[in-house]
Order: sequence, then structure tokens, then C-alpha cells
Amino acid sequence: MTEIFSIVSQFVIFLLIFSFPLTPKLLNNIIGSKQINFNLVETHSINIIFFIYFCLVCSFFNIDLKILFKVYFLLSLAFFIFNFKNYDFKIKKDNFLSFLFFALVTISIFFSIAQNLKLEWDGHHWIEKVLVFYHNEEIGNLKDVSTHPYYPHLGSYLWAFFWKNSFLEFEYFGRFFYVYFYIVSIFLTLNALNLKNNTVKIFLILFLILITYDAYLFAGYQEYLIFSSLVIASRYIYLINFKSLDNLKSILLIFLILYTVCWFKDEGVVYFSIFSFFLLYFLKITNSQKIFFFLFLTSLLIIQYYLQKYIIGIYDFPEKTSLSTILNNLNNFEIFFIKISKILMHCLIAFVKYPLWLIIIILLLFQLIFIKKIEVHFKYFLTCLLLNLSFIFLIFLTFNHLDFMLRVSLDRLLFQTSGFYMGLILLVLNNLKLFKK
Amino acid sequence: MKLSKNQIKYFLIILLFSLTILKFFNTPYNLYSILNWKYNDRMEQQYGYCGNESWGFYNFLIKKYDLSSNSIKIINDEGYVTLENLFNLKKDNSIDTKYLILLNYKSKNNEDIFSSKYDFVKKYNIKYRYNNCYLLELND
Repeated sequence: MTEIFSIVSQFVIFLLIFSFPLTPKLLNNIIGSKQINFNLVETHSINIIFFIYFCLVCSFFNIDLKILFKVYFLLSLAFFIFNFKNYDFKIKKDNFLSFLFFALVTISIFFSIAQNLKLEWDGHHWIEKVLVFYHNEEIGNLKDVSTHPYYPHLGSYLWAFFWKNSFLEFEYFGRFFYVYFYIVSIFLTLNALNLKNNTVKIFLILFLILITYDAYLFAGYQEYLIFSSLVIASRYIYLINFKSLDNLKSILLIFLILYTVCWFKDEGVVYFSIFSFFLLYFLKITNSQKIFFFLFLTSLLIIQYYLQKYIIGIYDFPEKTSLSTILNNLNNFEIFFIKISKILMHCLIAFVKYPLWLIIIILLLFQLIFIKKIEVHFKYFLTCLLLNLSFIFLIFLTFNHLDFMLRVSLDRLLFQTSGFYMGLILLVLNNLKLFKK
Repeated sequence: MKLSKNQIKYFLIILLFSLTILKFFNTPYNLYSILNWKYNDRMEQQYGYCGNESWGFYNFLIKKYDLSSNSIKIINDEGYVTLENLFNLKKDNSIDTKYLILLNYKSKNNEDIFSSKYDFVKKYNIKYRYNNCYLLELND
């Protein structure tokens, strides 16, 4: 019974600490605009991003996780009590229903992890990094872990943070954050649908969870962190007006959300670069603003390189690739053809395994063939999709153990970026008569 | 109290969606399992005692012997991932360590562990054995 109580309490703790430091009113005052009006769920998601940055900064200072949690928790509690009125809790039937299902789904997944608490293969590698933080060791010790020491550490830090600060200090409590982040991101996305009927909205949310939930990836993998961050980023990209931006702060916010993926896994740097630089390209802002943002994005990448190389002591990528390897592949047409067909085959398998991809492709074709309305948003998501898939094809072309890599990693690579195209789904659905206001 | 049509519809939707969620995530069984079995029991159910990753065997050894101060060679003969991180053990398969943990050892007919494909086992003696899981100690 104690364990059940602890699991449910963890959910309440998440609710509380992610209600800090912003309320919808405060957030709207800071970055609200005609295009983006933050409600309770949106503010919650931004608070999670804030917390992720808080953890990122703290991870470099070797601060005791227990002290850190106590300070953050007390601040959240005090903030919640003093700002209770500003949270705008409308006890409407629809809000109640959404919250009920949010709690039910989240706690159900918590129970599922508590029962199936086994870590899968990669989880046993990531936990080495988690233990460095769990034992409050110096961040520099990360470079001494036996598997992939160069992988970014933020996911492991978050895992260690909630493991150490759970009631029973069981390992699996650390992974609850991944679940919470994922569920918040799904609820946030569907909030943007122009649907009056809340029941249909909840039905769609449950359907999305049904097709994107994979218990295996909650067993120590970091894919859901990237997936959820990209879902949140795409939700805000969907809301902005590319042609006439009324608030540059919202762009800054989107870049900062996208930047978190660089700290979860190595390939996050590529996703961040594709999604951010092309967002900048498609935005209709002045050249000086573009230069400012370009320098900002570049400096974010340099900061990450610097921190990993000189503070942690290691910066590298798991698979080395070069233009010459790619050109060599192109020279031998037969090998190139075999490799391409193998990659294509495994992509199709991954699309079926993670059917969100099928929905993305179907809606994309539907928009191109039937609606034929190609907006800037659509162009942007389409460009990102093509570049994203090209990157995956190119990187797999250069792998020495192609068959093995295709079997163990292609599906996960595709899954984690599928979240970004949730914006594309919203775009097409909101163009349909059924969803028009 | 008479419920209106809309209220009945509302409750039916809640019930339908809730049951779908509970069934999809297998929540009633998970709840029952958490209530019925302690954390260590569930770990053993998931990882096995002397089978698969053999969590139970590690757990027994940790309680009975002081293994944390030395580097240990750990081999799972069935290729499952080894659990040194979960037990804070220092794994080192490159040298002859004081202890060797050999899990799920696969043998044919009367073949014993000392006539196995692992030549280095001859340098060790058996300190504890449970089925095909061994804790071996380096000979003096």
C-alpha cells in the first residue's frame, strides 16, 4: 500500500512543482501575443521546460539532489499558495473531464512501470550516468562510464533527480518524469485543435496515446524526452504566424524548447539544427533579426560543445561519418542500391510499428492531393520532414554494421522525431471542414 | 433523482473511456501485483533468479558476500545484459579478478564448468553455485 501511495504522491508532486514559476497570467504578460495565448496546460508545459533548464544548469555544479529538490519543492509550494487565484482553475465540466483522463492515463502508466520495472538494453547503459548523479559525484566522472560516455547527460540527471527524491527511493520513480512529460505534451497538442466537442478531443488524445505509447521505450531509453520536447515545440510553431510575427519572444521560446533535445541525445544536435535554422529561414522577419537569431542559435551549439568538451571532458559522436564514405557508397551502385532498399524496408517496418508516421504520411498526401493549400507552415514542416528523413538515410548509408543498426535503432530514431510532425497533423486537421470553427 | 439524457451520456462516456484506459495499460493487474509483491519480488519476477539477467542470484550474493570492494568478472552465458550497475559492482572482464560470476552457464552432456569454453575458469574454484549460476573465487 505504501508503494501505491508513493506512486500517486509522485503525480501530485509533479503537478505542484510544474506549476512553478509561471502562471498563465504571468506568462501571457511576458510572452503572450495575439497568436499565442497561454492557458493552464500550456503554462504547465513551459514550466516543465523551465525545470529542464534548471536541472541542466544545476547538473554542472554538483549540488546535492536532495537539497535541490527541497528548495524547488518549497518554492513551488509557496508560489502555488500565493498565486492560487492567478491559476484560473475553471471548474467546468470539460476541464474536469480532461484532468480526470490526464490523471488516469498518467497514473496507469506509472503503475505499469512499477509492475514491469525491468530496464531494457540501453537502459543499463544510461543508468551508469544516472548513478553518477545519484551518488552526487562530480560531473567530470561522466567521461569514465563504460558505455557511450560522450552522450549528453540531461535525461540521466532528470532520472537521478526524481529517483533520489522519491518516497521509497526506487529506481523506477526516476523514469516517471519521462511519462509525465510525454502525457503533458500529448494533451497540449490536442488543445490546439479547433474542436468544440471536448469528448471528441479526449477521444483523439486517447487515440494518440494508443498509437505513440511504447512501454519498451520507458524502460530506460531517452527517446520519449526528445519526442515530447519536439511535440511541445511543434505545437508553438503551429501557433505562430510566419508572415507577421507580433512577438519575437515566442520565437526565442521555440528555439529554447528545441535546444533541449541537444542535451538528451547526440542526434538531438542534428534535429535542433534542421528544425531551428529552417524555422529562421521561413520566418518573415528583418535581416538584422535573422542575423541575431542565427548568431543566437550558433552560440547555443558552441556552448553545448564547450560545456561537454571542457567541463565534462568529452565530446564525440557514436558513429563517425564523412563525405568520403558517402561518396564511396555512391560509387558502387550495387551496394548503394542494396543499402537503400534495406533502409527503405526498415523504414516501412518502423512506420507500421509507430503508426503516427502512417497518419503523418496519409495527412500529408491528403493535403497535397485534395486540399492543395500550401501555406508557409506546411512548407516548413515538409522541408523539415524531407531533411530529417534524408539525414536518417545518409547516416545509415555510412554504418559499417548496417543490418544490426537497422534492426536496433532505426525505428527509435524515426519514433523520436515523429513528435515534431504533430504540428503538421494539426495543420491538416484544422483545414478540414469538420474542425473549422 | 432523475438523470437527464445528457448526464447519462456524460457518465457513459467517462465510464467507457476509463475502462478503455484501464484495460489498455492493464492497470487492475498492475495494481494487484504491486499490492501483492514487494519491489524485490517483482525485480526477481522480471529479471529471473538464475535465468535471463539473474537479478535474484546477484541479490543473494550481495547479501551473503562482500563483493563491492573488488573488481569482478561477470559473464552471462546466454548473452543477457549484466547487472553490475544495479548492484554497484565494479565489473572488469579484462583481467583475472578475485571473483568471477558466471550466469546461465550452458553445458552439454556431462561437461562441467572446468571443462568449458572459458579456459580461465580453471584458475578459479566454486564458492557458491545455484543451478547454472556460479560465484567463483580465484585460487591462491
